[in-house]
Amino acid sequence: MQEQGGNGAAHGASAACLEFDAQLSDYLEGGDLPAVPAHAAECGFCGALLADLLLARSDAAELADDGPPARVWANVRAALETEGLIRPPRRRWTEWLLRPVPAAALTAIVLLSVFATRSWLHRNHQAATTAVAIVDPGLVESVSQMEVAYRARSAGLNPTVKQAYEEDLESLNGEIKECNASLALEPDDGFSREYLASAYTEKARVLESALELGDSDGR
Amino acid sequence: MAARNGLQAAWTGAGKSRMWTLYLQVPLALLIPAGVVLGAGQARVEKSFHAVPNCRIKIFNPGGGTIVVRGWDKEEVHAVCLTNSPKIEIDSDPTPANDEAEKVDFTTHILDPQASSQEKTASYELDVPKDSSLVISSPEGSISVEHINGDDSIESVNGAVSVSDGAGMVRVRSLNANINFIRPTGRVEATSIMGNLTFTGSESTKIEAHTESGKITFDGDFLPVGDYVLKTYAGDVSVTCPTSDSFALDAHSLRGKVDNQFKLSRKAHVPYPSHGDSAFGTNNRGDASVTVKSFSGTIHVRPRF
Repeated sequence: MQEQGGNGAAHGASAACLEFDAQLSDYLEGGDLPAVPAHAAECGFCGALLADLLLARSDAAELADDGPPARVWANVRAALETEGLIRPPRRRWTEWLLRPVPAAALTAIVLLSVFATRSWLHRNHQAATTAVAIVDPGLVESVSQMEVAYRARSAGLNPTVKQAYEEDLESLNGEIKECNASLALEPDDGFSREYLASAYTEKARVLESALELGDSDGR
Repeated sequence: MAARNGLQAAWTGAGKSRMWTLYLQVPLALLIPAGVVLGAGQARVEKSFHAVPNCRIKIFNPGGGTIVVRGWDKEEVHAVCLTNSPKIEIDSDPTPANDEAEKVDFTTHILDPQASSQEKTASYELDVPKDSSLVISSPEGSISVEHINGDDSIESVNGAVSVSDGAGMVRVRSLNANINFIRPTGRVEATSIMGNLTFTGSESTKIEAHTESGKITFDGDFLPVGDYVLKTYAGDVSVTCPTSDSFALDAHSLRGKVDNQFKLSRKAHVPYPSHGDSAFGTNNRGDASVTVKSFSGTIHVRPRF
């Protein structure tokens, strides 16, 4: 029977695994902890665990988070004000805006700013349309980290299986490139956006499968 | 264990409390049925378990190998396995151990990580109660499942998968190989990257099929309450169904063509996409929902007379 690891699953947990375990939650919350991905690249079990968590995080990010409609918040605020639990917001500098002359001056400034920046934004629109802007940045980051872990451990895979994974990744990378190129021409094309997001999700699944298989194959 | 000499297959069961070990000294006549010839290092093991009708079967075969699972009317799981070398072993774990099995896990363990790819392979041939549910994971080697009414979850990398006469929910993922569904009647989810997805004689009410560069071929009926989504990136999609089927079609290819041979009635409130090629509208009453998408593949929708 093998040792019980700190992350609750049976594997040969080393001191590095326990340290990985201790730092994992901070890392997932954005902490600058390079030891975590470094250990994940070396340890099959911890690598698969990190891959699962990154994928779960990216899947969760895809879920809609619309929140309750504005009228619900308005009703809650009104009820709290009635109960005396909060006070209505006090007018301060906004009252100044309601006076005619300052309001006209501010409107003019805003319009000038809009016209000045509009042409700049238009020129840079294509460059700004990247995968990160369209696909959830968390998913892009997760895929990138999983790919690093995969590259570090793919040598242990069965050669024909490894070749299959390589072909899949090449195909998906080509798809991502093609979708990005399409979006550079038509930034609002929903079809290309859908396929780009889908390609990233599929790539994450392929990498997860490879990392899991590498882990089980080595045991 | 791996270092032992001679032909050996280790088969452990009942929570690893029991182990049947077969050696060369066991008369070959007991091990090898007529017509089966074992190669050097190969071993064949056979086992039966009494099982409940809706038994859960799990096969985890990380080294790959052919897997065949057939549903039958008996309340029994019967397994014949072939290990390719003494560097692997197969565990069977029925639960509960001393009564009718509610679940049976089969696992191929790789005892020697230095074993070659060929030495890591094991093949399985199972007959199981037809209402069983299956979970199969095997990266290589074909997987065939027939006449299973329970739910199936099948994962492969390079292995072709064939599911025939499946009535339960079937979820199949094979990254680089083809997936074939023959006469499916339950819900189907099929995903591949490079493989082709083929549906023959479909009477399923819900299909979600997605492949990146493979083709999708659908030949079957769109049932009135059905919902069908067929999606490729670069592969072509071919849909064939009877003219009597009632469905609403939404077919669109951004870079490819849409070849629709049905005379569809177009719903006035559905706008055409601004670019690409598409076909929208209803056939008969438009009951079933059929969505076909491709980024650069060609879509064919044809009646079957």
